[in-house]
Amino acid sequence: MNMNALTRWVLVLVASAALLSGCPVPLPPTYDSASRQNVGEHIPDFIVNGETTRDDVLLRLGEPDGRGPGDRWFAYGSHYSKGGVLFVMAAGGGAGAAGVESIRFRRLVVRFNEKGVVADSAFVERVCPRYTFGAGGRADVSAPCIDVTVDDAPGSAPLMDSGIPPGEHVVAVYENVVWAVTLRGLSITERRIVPGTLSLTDRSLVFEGKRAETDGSPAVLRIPYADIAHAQSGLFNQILIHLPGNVIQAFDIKQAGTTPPDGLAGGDVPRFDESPPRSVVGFINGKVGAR
Amino acid sequence: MCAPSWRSFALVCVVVAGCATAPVGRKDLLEFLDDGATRREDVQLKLGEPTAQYDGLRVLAYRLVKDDAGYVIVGQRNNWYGVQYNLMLVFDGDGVLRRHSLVEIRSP
Repeated sequence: MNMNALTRWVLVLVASAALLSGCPVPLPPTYDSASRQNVGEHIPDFIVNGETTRDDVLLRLGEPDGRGPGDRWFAYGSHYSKGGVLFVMAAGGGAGAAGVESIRFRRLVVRFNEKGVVADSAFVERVCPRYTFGAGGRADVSAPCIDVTVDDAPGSAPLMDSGIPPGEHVVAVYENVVWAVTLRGLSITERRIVPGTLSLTDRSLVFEGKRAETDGSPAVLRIPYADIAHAQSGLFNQILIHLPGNVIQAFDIKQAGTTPPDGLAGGDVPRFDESPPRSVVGFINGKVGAR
Repeated sequence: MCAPSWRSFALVCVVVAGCATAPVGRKDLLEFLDDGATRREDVQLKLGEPTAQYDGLRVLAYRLVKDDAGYVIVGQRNNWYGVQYNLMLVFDGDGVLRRHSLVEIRSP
């Protein structure tokens, strides 16, 4: 047995001893207080591709938990605890708690065509453990195993298009960019990163990357400037793209961009070779008319 | 010795009574909604700012709870805590209500 395995076993033994010495409190099955309850166990029968409208979906299911640029997709999600146990420990004037629950996540994503009619929809249900640890006045909860507010499932992604459309001219390309995908639960969030390349065209921002942390599947995000409210510089080399519905996409730009030989020419071409975030933010805001 | 105890007891009673909330809902809150007649301005005057809007102002959404007295509008929040219903209102191009529904989001 090597040292890592031994250390792991010691930690497991210590944690087990701590848990077994606490008072177990059963956690009954219930929906999370922040979760909606009207996501069924399959795609609702009223949703028919090519027939059901965006209005029909809103009238039957209510506000979505997530919405894509231009309302091209809606996501409806729920968190349901199937029960678990919480161990409460008190010793030496302090108290702590650790627990585990089995959570059923459901996510329904409905995509619409340009006429506002359902193009297709996807349903995912997954049951995963949720760990809670609290001590000293603060509590930590493990992240949800799926984001119920967006469709980030490999192979299906309403935010994702096929990359740079024909007819769009690439103005600048940034390599080694990181798309910081926010994995949102209804009460907690976790950020995952996707490395790739960010291209600015004359009409849209296109990110092409691979999901390094999961299955390596392609992750392509295209945001037309028309869908952007405004862009903003974040901490360090980050840019924040603000979209309708309080959606923010964040990119970390580590190095200067390059302008392709066939990129746009003229006085409106920013200097992409210095202070990447500022030049990108300025360029995008110039395109969307934001300050 | 007894007087302070009774005073404390009365104080506790007052504090605890303060935690109880009387129903504030209105049974007729949504009765003015009439497909084909109600205008968007009437809705916003009576219900206030919507919690969400879609396709510009063509579709408006409000969040509500229901107590013993009727419905209450719930303000903007990031999740469904304390919300029971979603009122969805679809208007036409002239701002007249065409369709509406009360969607149960969480069981009472």
